[in-house]
Amino acid sequence: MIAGQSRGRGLLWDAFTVLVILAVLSPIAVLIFSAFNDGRAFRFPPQAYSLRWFEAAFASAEYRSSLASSTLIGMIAAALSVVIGTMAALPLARGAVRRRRAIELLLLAPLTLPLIVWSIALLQIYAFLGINGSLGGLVLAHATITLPYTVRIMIAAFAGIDPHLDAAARSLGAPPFTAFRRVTLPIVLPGLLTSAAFSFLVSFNDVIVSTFIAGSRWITFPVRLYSQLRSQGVDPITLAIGAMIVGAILLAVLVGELISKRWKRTRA
Amino acid sequence: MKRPDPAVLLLTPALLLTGVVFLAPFGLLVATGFWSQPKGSLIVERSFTLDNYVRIAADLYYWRGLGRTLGLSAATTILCLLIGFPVAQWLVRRARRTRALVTALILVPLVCGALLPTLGLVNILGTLGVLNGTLKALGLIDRSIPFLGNDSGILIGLVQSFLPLMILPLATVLDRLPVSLEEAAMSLGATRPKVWRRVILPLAAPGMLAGALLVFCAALTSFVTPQILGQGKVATFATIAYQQAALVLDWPFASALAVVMLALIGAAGLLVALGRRALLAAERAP
Amino acid sequence: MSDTPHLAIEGVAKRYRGTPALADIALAIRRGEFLALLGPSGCGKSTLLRILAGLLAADEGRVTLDGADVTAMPPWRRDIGLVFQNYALFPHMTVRGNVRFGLEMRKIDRATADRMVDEALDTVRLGGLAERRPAELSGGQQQRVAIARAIAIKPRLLLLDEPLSNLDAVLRTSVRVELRELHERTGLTTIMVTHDQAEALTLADRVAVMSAGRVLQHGTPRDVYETPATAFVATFVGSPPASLLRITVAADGGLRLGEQPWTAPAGFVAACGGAKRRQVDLALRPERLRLGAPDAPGALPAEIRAVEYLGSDRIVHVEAAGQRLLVRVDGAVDLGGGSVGVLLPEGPPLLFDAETGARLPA
Repeated sequence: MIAGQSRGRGLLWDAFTVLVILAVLSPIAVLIFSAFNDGRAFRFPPQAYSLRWFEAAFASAEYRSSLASSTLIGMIAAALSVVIGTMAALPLARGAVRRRRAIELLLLAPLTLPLIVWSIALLQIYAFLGINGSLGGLVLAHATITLPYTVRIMIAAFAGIDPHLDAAARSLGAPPFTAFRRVTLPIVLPGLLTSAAFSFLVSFNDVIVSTFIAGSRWITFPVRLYSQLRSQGVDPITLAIGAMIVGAILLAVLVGELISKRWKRTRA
Repeated sequence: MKRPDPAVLLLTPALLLTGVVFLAPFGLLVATGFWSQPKGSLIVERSFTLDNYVRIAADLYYWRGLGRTLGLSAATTILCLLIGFPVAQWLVRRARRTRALVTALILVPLVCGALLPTLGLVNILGTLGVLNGTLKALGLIDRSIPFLGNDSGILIGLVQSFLPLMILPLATVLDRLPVSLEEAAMSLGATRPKVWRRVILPLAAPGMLAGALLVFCAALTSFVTPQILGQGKVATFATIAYQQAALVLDWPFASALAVVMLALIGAAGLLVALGRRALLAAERAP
Repeated sequence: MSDTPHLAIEGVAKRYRGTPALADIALAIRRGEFLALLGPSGCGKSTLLRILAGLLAADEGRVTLDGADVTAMPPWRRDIGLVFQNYALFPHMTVRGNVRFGLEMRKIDRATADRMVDEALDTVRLGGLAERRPAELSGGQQQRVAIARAIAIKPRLLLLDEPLSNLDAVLRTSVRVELRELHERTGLTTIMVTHDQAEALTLADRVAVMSAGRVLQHGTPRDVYETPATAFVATFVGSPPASLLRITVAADGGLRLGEQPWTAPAGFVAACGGAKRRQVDLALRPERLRLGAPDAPGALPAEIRAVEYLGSDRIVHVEAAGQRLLVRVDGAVDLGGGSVGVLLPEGPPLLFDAETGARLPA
């Protein structure tokens, strides 16, 4: 603290920051809190609390099937994204490519160009090809929008490896693919897991693209939730499901963080 | 036969996915924007016409939507800057652990997607929601303030969802400014406001521009937040485009609306690029 | 020149989260003096400098400048020039912009300010580079800009934070000379923080040696070198620093080195006299020791363990009574075999209480 200044300024700043952080977190907090509200319509403060909406959530076949769709699409899209993205990141990270900057910029385009505009175009193409609302169509779209995350994470992961390790493995007699599998791959495993988790999350949460190209057969949870919100308002069951999704995401992030900390400690 | 370059082989699937599945549709969009679809029909007339654009330009409804969208996006950007700057500055002065924790907290809503926080916001901003309930309990108001179904709710929602997009780039830029620059300015006689205006602001300007562009574009193209928090009563450009594409099914017209949005984003990007140039030029001047 | 000090530091203390960083600092600096705050990293010297600049508020004590209490004065009102270790040049301004900044804050009109900028740049011999940007300058040039910026405001005090640490070894020697010349030319009261004892001894009129948040000794470079106040000062100052020889004073007043009784040169027993049943440390400057035959009269028998060749001379690491000592000998001297005798210097010995490190009166 500077001479001749009161403590008030710093405290005011602290208070402001805490307030902003609370405001940023409040929708998630209220989402979880309101899932325990007993009434059909939420009012604050609630008159009674119950777990009935959680019970209803487990009993609802409709929401269960949309969650299953989201999970399946997310898993396939994440797998595709990780495989394709990792393949692309390898040469980019090693710098063995001409016009590397341009290629990177191209691969990151889904992060910079507006998805709503793309979705309006994709909708027309999918309709023309007759794959609107199909599993393949959704997976393809999701793999496309998750790819830049994988490419970014994997370029960073590969760039962090000492290039001499691969050479060392080869000098010990390992053919190129064996060297990659036995040396490089285990080192970038955390990157692979992070990419997979990120891709799954982006796909699982996507509402923008899916709501344009979803049909009646493959309805993801966000699409169902969005149309529910648009037409009927808040269904308390979705609050319970939302609370559980948030809980699962936070748990996954926490576990991932713990694992990566341990990983770093054992290999430092 | 020449063996293909392994790098090219490895890059091909990713380039195909991004080039063909992602970028090519943007080209198609420009084309379909010039096609037409007779009213009440779903058959697209594939011949060149400016009808869609004429329709947008001639109808005050779209102009109002455009004005409202630009206004909301600009207000979101300014609010995010005003709120985000002190928070980013606070953040870069903390120890690593505090910083990592707070950054993680700020990212939580982003990780939960666009819909779930909006769902929570509905319960905060509703007439019987947390905000009105708290204000009533504190005796500040007797009757609920309507936040949903008008611009105020949408603005709150947009600021709340895009604030992290402002804080993070700002924190990155501010982190690169050593504290000693401020201290040097103070030791040379600069008071706090002078330090801010002469040292921090010019050096943080690139980060502010980057964050502003990010937030502005995100707000401009957002349709979930305006749709849900506006309860369908507030028409922004993106919600209109969504309606035309997904409900009215007039795809050529939706394409034209999308092209306009793309042009707006391009213009915003250009403005930021010009702003950055002007900054550099101002610095060059003696 | 009046007797009141230009700058007085009285009872200044600072704690970080409860742990003391500075305790009861008291220093008086005369007008025009060049003071070096010398100590290892973490000793509190930078904290003290920041308190003087006003960038940090002291928890206790006061700082008076020209007789006026400035303890609670914010940095922008102090008129104290500060040169940062990393220079802290404003990257978005030219050299001229940087140097003019402080003058603009003082609302000096443009023409006068520009003249003062040129003057300051001439003082540090950077005349032709006014329109460059900091990024276009070498490290040495950047430092001169930082100095010019600090002296342009005609400060009451000039503070230098580790001014030579970011320069390469060749540049360091020449900048050292330049800093001394600058001080002679400007006559500014200057306080420099450094961890390098050679820098402190060569540049400063007076040196304050600090350790663990306290000033252990405040005196001329000669005082600090010849009559260190504590064992720490003896082992921190000098290149290489003094070695400590642990001596046990038996109940009968006889001296022991390790287990063996030791017949010390005259004057030792008296010096250690009041210290029965205690251990004392004898500080030995490598350049004051000589090597002779193992059986030379009064010599400490020792074995050579390692020799560092430095060209003009050599540093010989010897072991005597299980303790290591450094001896500086001429580069050309033939060292002979492994066994030698270490000849102690004449004159009163530098003895310290082994527990407290305090100097024993000779």
